[in-house]
Amino acid sequence: MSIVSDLEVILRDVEKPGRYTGGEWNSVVKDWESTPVKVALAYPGTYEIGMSNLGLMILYDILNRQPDILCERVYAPWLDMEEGLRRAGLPLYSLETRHALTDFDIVGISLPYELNYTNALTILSLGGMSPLAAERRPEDPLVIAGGSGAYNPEPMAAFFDLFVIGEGEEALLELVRLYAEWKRGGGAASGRPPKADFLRQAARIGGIYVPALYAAEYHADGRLARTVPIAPDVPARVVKRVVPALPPPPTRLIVPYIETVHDRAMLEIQRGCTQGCRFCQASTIYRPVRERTVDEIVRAADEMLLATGHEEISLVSLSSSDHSQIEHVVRALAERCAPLGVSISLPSLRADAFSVRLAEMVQTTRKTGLTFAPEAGSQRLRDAINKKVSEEDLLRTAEAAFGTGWNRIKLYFMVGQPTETDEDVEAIGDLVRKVVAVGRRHRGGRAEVSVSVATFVPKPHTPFQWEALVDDETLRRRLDILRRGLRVKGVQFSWHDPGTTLLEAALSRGDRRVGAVIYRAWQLGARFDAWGDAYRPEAWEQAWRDAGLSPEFYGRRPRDRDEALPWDHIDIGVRKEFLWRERERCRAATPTPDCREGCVGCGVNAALPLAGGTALCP
Amino acid sequence: MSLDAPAVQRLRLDYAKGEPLRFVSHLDMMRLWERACRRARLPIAHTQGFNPRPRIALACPLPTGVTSRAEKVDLFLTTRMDPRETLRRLNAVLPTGVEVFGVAEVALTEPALMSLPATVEYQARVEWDGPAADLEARLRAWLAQDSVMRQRERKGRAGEYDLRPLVEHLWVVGQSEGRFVVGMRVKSGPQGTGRPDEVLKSLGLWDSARGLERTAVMLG
Repeated sequence: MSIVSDLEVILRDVEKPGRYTGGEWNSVVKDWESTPVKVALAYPGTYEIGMSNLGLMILYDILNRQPDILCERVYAPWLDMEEGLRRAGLPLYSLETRHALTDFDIVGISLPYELNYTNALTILSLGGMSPLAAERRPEDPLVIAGGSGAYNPEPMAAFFDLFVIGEGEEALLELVRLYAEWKRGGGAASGRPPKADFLRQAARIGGIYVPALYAAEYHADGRLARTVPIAPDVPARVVKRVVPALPPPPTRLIVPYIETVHDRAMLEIQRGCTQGCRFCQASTIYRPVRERTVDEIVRAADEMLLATGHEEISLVSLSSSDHSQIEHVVRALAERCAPLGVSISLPSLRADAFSVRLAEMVQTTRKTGLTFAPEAGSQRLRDAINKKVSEEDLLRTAEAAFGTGWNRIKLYFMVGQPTETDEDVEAIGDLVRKVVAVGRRHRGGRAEVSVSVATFVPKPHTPFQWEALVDDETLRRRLDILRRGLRVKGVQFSWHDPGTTLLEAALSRGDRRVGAVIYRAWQLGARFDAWGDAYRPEAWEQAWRDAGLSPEFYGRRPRDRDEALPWDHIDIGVRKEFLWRERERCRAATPTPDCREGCVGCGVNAALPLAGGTALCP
Repeated sequence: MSLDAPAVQRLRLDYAKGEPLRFVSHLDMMRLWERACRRARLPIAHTQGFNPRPRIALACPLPTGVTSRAEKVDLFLTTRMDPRETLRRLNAVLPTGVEVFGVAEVALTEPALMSLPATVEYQARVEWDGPAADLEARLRAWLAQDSVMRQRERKGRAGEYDLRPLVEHLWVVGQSEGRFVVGMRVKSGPQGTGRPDEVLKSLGLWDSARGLERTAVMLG
């Protein structure tokens, strides 16, 4: 069924109607009738944020390059649009051809962040099907998920037929091909129970996790005992997929009409990170590191700028300064971009003088601000979390930045990390005041340091996966310490505490039972939980109660070394023993070197079955 | 191409903004033109100063939610371009729904598009149970009023203004898709802008109005 009814009336009354109309330059509209395989890729957040998700853009590009596959986009409707669609009896539709989700063969939802899980349920329900996989009809699309949230798939296991663990560039295409073949063979009509035979075949593709083929068993005290396969030929552990070398990046990026969060050309120069910060999930799940060459980057940038007309290009990576050829990359791009009036942005810069030099190379006229993330105030804590920035580094960076004309430095810190004491938090104030003093010396009263502090949330597959979320009382005390310490002229202090930290912590390390909580909270109206104006704490409180579970059990409880974790059967290549060893080194405040300086033995090069068996580590 | 080069030519383009872009705002259209000009590799001049901006100017902001067959945009170029070639290159890189259908060279010294007072026409399809004559009577009665006070919010503060002097004429154009088409001629410019949705609301015709479109822009 195509959306033929009059959307005009709904759209003229909603906030930012441009979110829902599609038609952007470089969006791909294929002939619906003559293209046999139809995939919808959905992002469980607003259009503005979803359009800034490079992962989805990569998959959209790959799928639409196949002549027999079409791929269209769907974003979570904001509350007003959901209400408008429901009132008009219209389903959620794809932006390209305005088809309901149930008209597609496959609906893929990216799970980048725990606090938009409820929106995934809205997408399915408003798309015309049950959010619960077990309740969907045989003719409903195959519903799949991917993204960083899939590394602990258990809380969302009830809603998806399968998860793609790891990089989707190859795995998604293999999966779609298998589905197309199965469908051609009349699979959809014969499957009984629905799709079960397809799912068993799919589970043999590397990186595909079919939750219905596994069962979770629990101890009497509520802790997980184990997650085991319950069908033959199903792997006990699902190993994440990685591409041995990064394929050429998409260059015909969709150019939005309305302003998006990252409204610029995004060019991934490197995947993975070698720094080894112990709090960071991206650090472990995206291993090993892979770089694009200077030539490849420059060629892609040329194509991208011509294809999009963007006024800014952003070099995407977890740590731009670490790319082995970054200076060449930046110099080559700066030469091309300056005459076009195109600016270059370099996010995720390491705090050192080299990074300031890089920033200097891309800055033509305006010197707005430079951002660095020391993450902790004291050297002891930075050693404990393995953040390789010394006070000297930071002050030298400030010296270089303020000394070459920047007026503003932005610093990111986290509070609530393992082993943190009040003294560590006081040290944030000391450090910031020293940075301000450097700024004063160079820029006088114009020097500004903005300090942004977030609460640390332990994540799966990290050395801190066994740790408890900081308790509220400690957090409040440390916030007071920060407020007092940062009451300095020239410092802007912002603290981000939306009151959803415990929820995020609980969903992030939840097990299969948490799915019932998510479903209940969604039924009670939970939507856009990361948005202060939409978050419904009372819906969540009731949902936890109704399920007989508590967020504290998942968020605030330290785990023993031998406790089975809900994501133990998801293999990211990094060994659990390595993570535990890193946790112990945290306790001893012992840093671990960057693995570009020598292998630290995380296990990823041995674990991942790569073509030719070549190690990808630098 | 250099960002500092002065403008040597000014082209005025006539273009249509179609259904797919109904909900694209005026500011979004500005960005669309900047990006389309970059894709077409046109030698666009830039403003001088701290933060150089491409010299692209739109006439009479089109309200969000309205399509148009009568938009105008001025491009300032640093090297002379053949106007037809410019039109061809732009149409090749504009999204479906935006189409340039006319181009003319304008003196660099002419006043800015935005500063010109203009008269603008809109049309919308409305539901009306009854003969055209009754609808015409409703429009005449509206025009016969001395003032039509409407609320508006500006910078978060509610205020009142008189819509009547901003509206020059209202008429029934004809019938289309089982509805009557109402035409409006309103003022647009620094002295005040008549909003077509406000006109339809004050006529009690807004709820059934569909396909609101700008049909003409007369400058000066």
